[in-house]
Amino acid sequence: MTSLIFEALVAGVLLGGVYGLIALGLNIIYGVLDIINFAHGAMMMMGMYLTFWLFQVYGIDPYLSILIAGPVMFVFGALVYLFLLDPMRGKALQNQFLVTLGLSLFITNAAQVLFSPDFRVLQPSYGQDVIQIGPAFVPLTRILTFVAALAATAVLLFIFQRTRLGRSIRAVAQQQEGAALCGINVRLAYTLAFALGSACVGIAGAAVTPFFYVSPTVGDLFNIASFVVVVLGGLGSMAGSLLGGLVLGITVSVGAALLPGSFKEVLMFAIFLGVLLFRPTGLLGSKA
Amino acid sequence: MTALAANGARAGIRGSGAILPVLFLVVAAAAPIFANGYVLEVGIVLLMFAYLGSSWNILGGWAGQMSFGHAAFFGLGAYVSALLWINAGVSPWIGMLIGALVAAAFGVVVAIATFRAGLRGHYFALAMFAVAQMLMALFVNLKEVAGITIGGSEGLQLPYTGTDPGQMVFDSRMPFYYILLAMLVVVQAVVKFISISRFGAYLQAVRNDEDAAEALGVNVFGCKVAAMAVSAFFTGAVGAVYGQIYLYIEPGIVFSATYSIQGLLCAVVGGAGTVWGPVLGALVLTPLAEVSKVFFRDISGLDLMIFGAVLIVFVRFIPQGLVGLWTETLARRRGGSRS
Repeated sequence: MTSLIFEALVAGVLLGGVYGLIALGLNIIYGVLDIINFAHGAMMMMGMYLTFWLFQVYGIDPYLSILIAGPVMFVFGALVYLFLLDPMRGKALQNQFLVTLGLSLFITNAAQVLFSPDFRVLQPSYGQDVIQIGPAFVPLTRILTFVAALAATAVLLFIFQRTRLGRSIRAVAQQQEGAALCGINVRLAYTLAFALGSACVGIAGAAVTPFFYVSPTVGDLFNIASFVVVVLGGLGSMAGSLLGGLVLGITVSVGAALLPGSFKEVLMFAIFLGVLLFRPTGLLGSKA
Repeated sequence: MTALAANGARAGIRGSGAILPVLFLVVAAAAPIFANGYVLEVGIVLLMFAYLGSSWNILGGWAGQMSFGHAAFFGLGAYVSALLWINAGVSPWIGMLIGALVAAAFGVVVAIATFRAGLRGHYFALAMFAVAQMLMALFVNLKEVAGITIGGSEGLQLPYTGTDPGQMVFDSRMPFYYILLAMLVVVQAVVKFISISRFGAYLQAVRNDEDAAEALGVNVFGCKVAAMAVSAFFTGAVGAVYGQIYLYIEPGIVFSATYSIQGLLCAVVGGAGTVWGPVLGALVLTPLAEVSKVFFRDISGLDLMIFGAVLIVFVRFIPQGLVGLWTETLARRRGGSRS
């Protein structure tokens, strides 16, 4: 029993790294633009299909696809922002939220039209390899994915904290007009923030494909997970996203080991509602 | 945080009088006489859409509290009625009422929890989404409770008794068409009543600015909970009818985001917070979905893909909805002729 829980704990930490990365993307978008991107999960699904087909057709290793899926989703995010969301800047935030709902509906069902609702599984040659950590046997892919997610997170945090670009985005997030007066291109900063947030799910999507099934609705699962993590870790707090990711990963995986059937999904939503309801309202209210 | 509805959208429809609604009712009531089975089927979908839209609109449009999870009430209504019928022999006519009441009670609990916690806008929408998804996950996992078969992910087969009006079982689709039409008339009457009542005025005040409404002495919390209860009641009632039409329910369908979003979609496209917006929205969206089905047979997901695109286009270009657009055009023309 203890080894079972230990195994679940390790799996939870490894999964938490991915949740952290996805939530970081959502958090960047929310922190800068005040928009909750309801299409976040659907965009991750895009990254997963891209990775799946790159492997299937060209034999490109899924971990190598991170370098493709990340930039592709970066560009996609930039286009979504420029054509759909930027024209609505300054209007009711709920409308922008509805646009992302429409986008999620569109992308999810477009995937269904193009690829059918079938579940697909990508099987790299090393897919079955395991590594022993203490009493637990952990699939190699989980570890690689965890490392990839951490690396991507580190790069993003570096961009945000240390580069001129990151500073300008943060400046716009804090004080839009002030930043504009200092010569910062506000529109560009917003676009980059949305694009970077989208790149996160592109990378995360590629990184989970070696061990996670791909289907048009797979994004729903990660959508909710990322909302949970963001609210859990605190809106706008990037370190919080990582911590929240770990907490959720561990809870879900230990819960799955202890609870029967697929009750872990119920658990996930229960955590989400619990966090939403019992978190002080101050943390929830948007800045506006 | 003003929602989609444009001010003044209500006045215009009242201005055009009761002619259009009566015309709609006459056409809708006479349609099945001339229609074949396919058209009747589409008519049922259309009425269901319009009804879901109007029910959603009470909370999402009038009170401005957008919900992404109304399927929770739809599914509850369907399950309560079906379980009562199967296990206790309660006629679905009564089961529908009980299902609606259970949905309303559940709505009140959810409303108290979420609104007490101060959830607004995005957060309320997301919380509702999670509520519906959680119920779906729960029912998928419930095979049997205390000897009563819930069915789990396989769902529930409802007994077929041959045409029996007392049990709401009909061989033909026609009676269901009229049941849904009657229900739509009821919900429209209620919405119309809300629109001219003091309660409706409070709801609009809450939608436009909660804090200002509170400051003016409106019981914001009470209004929102009441709006949720009414909205959930009507949504739950139609869930029960859904079960009777198809004699089969499963959690993956009745709690699915599809039923949450269809109501929202009709209301937003037609005009959130207007009496006739959701009906107009359904009149536009249903043919759109059918056309896509006729031209591209057997491609699942295409209709929802189109709905996604329609939602984006409307929120982006016509956030006030069709009714709002109509009133604005009327107002502009009147203004133009005067000058």
